[in-house]
Amino acid sequence: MSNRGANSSSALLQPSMQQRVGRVVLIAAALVFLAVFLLLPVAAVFTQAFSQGWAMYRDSIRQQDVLSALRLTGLVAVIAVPLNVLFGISASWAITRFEFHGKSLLITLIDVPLAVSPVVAGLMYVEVFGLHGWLGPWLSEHNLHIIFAVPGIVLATIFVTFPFVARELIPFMQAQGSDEEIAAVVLGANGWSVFWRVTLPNIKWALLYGTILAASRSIGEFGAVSVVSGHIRGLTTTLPLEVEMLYNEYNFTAAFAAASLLTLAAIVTLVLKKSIESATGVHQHGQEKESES
Amino acid sequence: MSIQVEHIGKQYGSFKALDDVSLTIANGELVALLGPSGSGKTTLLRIIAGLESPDAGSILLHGEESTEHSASKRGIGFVFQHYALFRHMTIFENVAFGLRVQSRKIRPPRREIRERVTELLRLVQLDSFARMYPDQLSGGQRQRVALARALAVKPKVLLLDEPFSALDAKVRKELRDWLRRIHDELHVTTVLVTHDQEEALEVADRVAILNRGKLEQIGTPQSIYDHPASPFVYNFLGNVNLFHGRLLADLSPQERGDSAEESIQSAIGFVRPHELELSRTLPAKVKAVSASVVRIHAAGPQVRVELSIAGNGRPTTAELDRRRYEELALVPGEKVFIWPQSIRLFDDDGARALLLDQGAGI
Amino acid sequence: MPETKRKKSWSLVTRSSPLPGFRVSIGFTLAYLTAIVLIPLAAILLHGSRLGWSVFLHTVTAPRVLASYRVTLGSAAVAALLSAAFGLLLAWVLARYSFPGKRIVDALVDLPFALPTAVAGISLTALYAESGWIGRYLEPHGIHVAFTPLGIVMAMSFVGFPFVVRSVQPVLEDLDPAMEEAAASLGANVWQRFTRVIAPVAFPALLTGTALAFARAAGEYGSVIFIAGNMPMRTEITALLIVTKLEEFDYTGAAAIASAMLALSFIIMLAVNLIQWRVQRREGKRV
Repeated sequence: MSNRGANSSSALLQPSMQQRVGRVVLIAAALVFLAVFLLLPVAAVFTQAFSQGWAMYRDSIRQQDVLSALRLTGLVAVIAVPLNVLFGISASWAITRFEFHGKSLLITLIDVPLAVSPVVAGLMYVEVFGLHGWLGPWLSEHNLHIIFAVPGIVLATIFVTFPFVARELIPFMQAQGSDEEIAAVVLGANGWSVFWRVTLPNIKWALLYGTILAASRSIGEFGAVSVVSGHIRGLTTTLPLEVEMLYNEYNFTAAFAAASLLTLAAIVTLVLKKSIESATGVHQHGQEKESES
Repeated sequence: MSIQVEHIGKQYGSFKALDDVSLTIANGELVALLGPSGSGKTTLLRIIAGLESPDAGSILLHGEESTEHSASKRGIGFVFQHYALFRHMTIFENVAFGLRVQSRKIRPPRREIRERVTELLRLVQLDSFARMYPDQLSGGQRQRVALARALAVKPKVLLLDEPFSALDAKVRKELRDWLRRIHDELHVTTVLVTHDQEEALEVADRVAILNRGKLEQIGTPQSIYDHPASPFVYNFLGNVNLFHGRLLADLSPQERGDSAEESIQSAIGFVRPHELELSRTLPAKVKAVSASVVRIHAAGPQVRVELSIAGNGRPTTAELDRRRYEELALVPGEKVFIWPQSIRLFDDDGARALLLDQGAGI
Repeated sequence: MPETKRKKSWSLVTRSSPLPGFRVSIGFTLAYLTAIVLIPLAAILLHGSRLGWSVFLHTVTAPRVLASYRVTLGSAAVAALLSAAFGLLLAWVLARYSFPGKRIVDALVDLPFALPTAVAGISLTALYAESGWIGRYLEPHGIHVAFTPLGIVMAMSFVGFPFVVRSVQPVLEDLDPAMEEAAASLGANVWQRFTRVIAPVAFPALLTGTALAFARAAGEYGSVIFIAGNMPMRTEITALLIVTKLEEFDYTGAAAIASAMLALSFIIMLAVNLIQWRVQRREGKRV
């Protein structure tokens, strides 16, 4: 017998006329809300970007500043995301396969970036690596620049995105259980074999899902990067920062043109997420639960 | 309250869950709906409850046409396979629920509710658990709460959907006996859905066997066990040995019995393991077959002997009581002669049945 | 032979496991967390504490700062309530009904998560400004959204409502239909089933989602600063105030205010954990 509320053939959940009308009203209200609140802003981005024609759009995007911002955003993502993937795998392996003191504290720590304002996050790194920060004097002695330079941006981005992979993997690996891995160990496999041949294939979709989330966030991060970046055009400006700068210069068309690139990335992210969810059941809400004995 | 099921049909897409099912349940009876999964028994129960609506046919409760009535208005109590207790309410609140949601006019005062709930919890022996949450109880305890909850509103019909199948064997037996005792005490018309034939035969006044949406047979446990109407029923209730073959022409008049006018070409003979006799010597007056002993399972109240007959693909199982087994002192590998005390014959589509009783001497 | 008692020493691992790689994984994880989270966190908190209690208090309660709290927390509270309302509506519709385009709607709910906050900021401003698609209908009626606290609320609701949806939706979807059927078989009508069976189970999830929406809204920067107007004492959010202090090289002031914001974040995290713990204890299930 099906366990799904919306699809159950239960006569109970078969609505009366009154309930049917109510249902339509609710769905319509939800759709209207979504359209006004979500679709309009997206549409506005593209409308504004193309408001002066395709040629203007193309030129805005080809601007040197925009291109280097694009490059920097890409570079930061390429460094931050793999590191966070490593962290995510490592943390979820430790948390889901072993019992140890302080596990819940560890899980809470992983959630910290989600609760903290991005500006505060950026400031945290200024406090450590900035000129007046803990490592400030030592860094300037060795002529190393973290804040107001690319490494700082990478660090801030790592901070705001590292939870994503871990938070996808932990419940997933928890639900999967360690039986297969234990079987592999009993059969004689060593640590890396177990990981490569058993764990990784099993978690690959959840891993991909988390990576997409992390990548999307690292491309789009604004507040934290804004604080550590120094806004040096062409050097330490990521694409979101470039959008801000163009906007503040009243160069609206160019700002929205750059924004449209980011919006496209966001839409691609959503499409990828949904495809993985539908195709593999990863992160599907309301999984069938095992009946309790 | 009596229940009349009249020509109920239910379809899901192209799948026929119920096909023209009719039966009557008398007031105060305990009837079991028995069958394999997919037989439609749960669907029928839910239709009686008002949780599903049939595509055809009608349900009459106490003579009253009730097919259109919603489940909340039929005066039924329903016990679910996985308890369906309200996780966020205490045991007490769970049992009190049905009383508390009654309309102001008929709702009893708070003190009376409290008394009724306490009494019911005492009946199911869980009165000390009143303040706990379902999560803190075992499966068997939760099902007792579910039963108490269903009984709280004094239903005229009690419907149970495989209530014990999620529990382990020993708890299942206990609750089964206990359900029978409660039924005997309260005399509520009860319908129990189960796939466990032992459960149905032990607990029910009458058993209705369903298969693929159709009612195969309904009767007292004794009658359907002794006189199964079809191969399916025979097979479903208890173990069986099958013998394919042809009736030999030189049957005694007794065997040819009522079907003397036609010759049955090929038929299947059904014999229960405890109806097989074994001997080392060829018996004089009965037709026996030689077989070799493959394995002996001697643990338990009866002894099961696995035999193999040349030419018969499947193993044949005989059941002996311990005394007979010790008399024979069988050894695996030895050859014995076996013959059936009685054999029920069905022709290939299960249409006709003859019962041949060799005990009377052939 | 005399029995030797082995002294039980404290060990990090509470149950031994046949699986390898504990040391590597926990070592890397802890090192990463220390470098990325703990040390920077400590740096801010210590800097704030170095001020001494009275200077610290003075800094975080200066009039301009207090005004920013009022603006930020007030708007976040309103935004959280709006998020709760619309989030609940969406979660309900997605969990219980099927309709054409449902998968697209489900995907769209994550848009505020995926969209960079700066992009959200400028597009919301474009929409609600006087000449914007929505603004042009509101302005004539005297409803000013852009550059007012109302605009701040709009932007905060935009980023906040997905938290409510994603908290409530799984709980509603996991609701066992048998529970509702049981309630009905016991005589409960539609309204009673909703208030006594569905709502109590969904409420903790709603609380969690709203708390998360509030936390996000209070700390939000990119989506808000474009539409806010950023006038000190009136439409300046605390996050912006921190940035302003940094630009004025008032690192100390920035650190102090940031510490105050961190305190709020931790309180909210604690509250959310408490809710989850209570539900887990009672029902044995995670919210």
